[in-house]
Amino acid sequence: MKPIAIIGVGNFLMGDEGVGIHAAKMLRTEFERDDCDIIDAGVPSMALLHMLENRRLVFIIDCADFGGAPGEIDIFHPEEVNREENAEISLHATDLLTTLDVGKKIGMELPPIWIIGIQPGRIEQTMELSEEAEDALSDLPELIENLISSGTESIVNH
Amino acid sequence: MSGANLNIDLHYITRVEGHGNIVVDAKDGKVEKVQWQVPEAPRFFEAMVVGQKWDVLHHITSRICGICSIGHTLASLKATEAAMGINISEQTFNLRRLAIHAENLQSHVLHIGYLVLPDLLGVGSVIPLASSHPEEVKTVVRLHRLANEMSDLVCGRTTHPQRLIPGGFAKLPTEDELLNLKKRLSSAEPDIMAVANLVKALTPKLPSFTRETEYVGLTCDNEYAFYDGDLASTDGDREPVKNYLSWTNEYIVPQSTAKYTKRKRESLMVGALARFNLNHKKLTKKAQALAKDLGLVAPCYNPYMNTVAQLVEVAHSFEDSIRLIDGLLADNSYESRVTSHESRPRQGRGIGAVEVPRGILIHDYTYDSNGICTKANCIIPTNQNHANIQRDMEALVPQIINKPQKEVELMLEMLVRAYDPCISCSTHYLKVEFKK
Repeated sequence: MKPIAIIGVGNFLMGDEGVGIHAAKMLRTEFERDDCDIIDAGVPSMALLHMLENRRLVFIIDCADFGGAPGEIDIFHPEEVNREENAEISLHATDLLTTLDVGKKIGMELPPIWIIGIQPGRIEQTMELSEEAEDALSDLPELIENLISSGTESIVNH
Repeated sequence: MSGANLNIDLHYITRVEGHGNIVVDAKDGKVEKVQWQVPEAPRFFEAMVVGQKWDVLHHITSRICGICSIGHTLASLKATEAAMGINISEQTFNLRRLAIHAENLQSHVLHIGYLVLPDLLGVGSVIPLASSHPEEVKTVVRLHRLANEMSDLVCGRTTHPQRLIPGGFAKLPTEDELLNLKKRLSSAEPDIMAVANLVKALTPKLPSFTRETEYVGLTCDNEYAFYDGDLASTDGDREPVKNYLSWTNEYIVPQSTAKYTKRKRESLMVGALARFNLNHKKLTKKAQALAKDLGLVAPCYNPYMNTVAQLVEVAHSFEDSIRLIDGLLADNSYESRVTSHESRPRQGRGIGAVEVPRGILIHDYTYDSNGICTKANCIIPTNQNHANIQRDMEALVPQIINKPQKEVELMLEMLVRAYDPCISCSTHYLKVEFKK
């Protein structure tokens, strides 16, 4: 297990909902660091927690509706998100933030986690990304390299 | 004296994947409306696999569900192998049985620990449960981690398997890895018993409602069926899987976008309780002893006991997995065996069925001579259960009509959750509103 994990989550049968999976696939060929595991986690539910343990730093790439333009990337800590609207849990589509909440509540030592959210252009049954989401992928290798090498705090400013 | 009034309109009930509504109307003690509604937009995964090649279909269908991804992969592989005339070795057969146990453990442990225990312990979700009962949640997390690692070891991933391919495995777990897994499974018994003791203490909180229905599952002569078997009913019928259409009979109802199914009766139930009612004599000894200890006796007509049946299956999957590993390791040439199968596509149709945590999953593919899928049909377990949930509600509401409305709502929600329905596993994207 490597100290840094880059985890793509989502369902690639549902268009931009699966942008994290497309990202993981692309990063496996376009992003090389000896200290990084790149994981296609799919729809991991609570299994995500076990991918976070014993890491120094984790990036989770996911489709996120933060009110941006399609393909826009935003990077944030889970703690920055207003949790009132994210309080529910189901077995299959466990909300990412709820999963992290449970981990903390039961005393798991979670590493610093950064969510790389990509605003969807379309969520519908297709294995193709929208043009905007596809374009966003090309920014990821340099973005993640900068986040790791220069320290995430210097870049993110919510 | 006027009777009770109920006006229940629960939209998007929680701790169930997808959107399901419960609507009840009762005036002066008379029930006027009881509906289990599924308003989810229908999904057409079958259309997505048409046009795809035979050797990638199982990867695509594994993405339909994050919980049943191993089951979808196996049903898909079985259908493809049947169509292509591919036979698998005994070793592959046994490793696939191990894979399906891993998925069963992953799903059941989570359902019991995260979704049902909050009801029984009187808290809203697993989040307050983690604060009020941290040790119990930690035990569940430990078991879940082990099931995930088992899946990772056998399938190459926690979810969405990579190693399972037509004819065999792309990569085998090593003998040392299997041996280590066996040790870890063996040492997990105290955790299983801790969860069992907790459930046993809380079982009296499960409603005592019963309604006899038809229970349908796979069955086979020599084991508790998960990977293989014929279609069987507690009404006494048994037929090969190729006859599945006469066992599912999908139909549409006005209040639901999901298809319903029925056989000879107006509804049927699939899942852990159905499997237990059909196949309980083939459970491992420890699982049988646990069922007895938990008061689960076949035939059981209480749908709320589906959770207890899941727990019994957890014990079974642990014990049977250890037995399977012993069998695999007894073969001195285990690691040197060829595991994949060179095949050329051919025209044909194949049907594959497995038991996934929520019941029978069926994939049916037709291929052209180039191995391109021209037609597909997938029947998921939850659709087989919708009609039974509706009939249960119709029977239950008149029995509890005089209880306070909140209590009626909780009992109906618990009923739906007992079925562990998976209405859609398709989207989970984050809705983000930043703190101000």
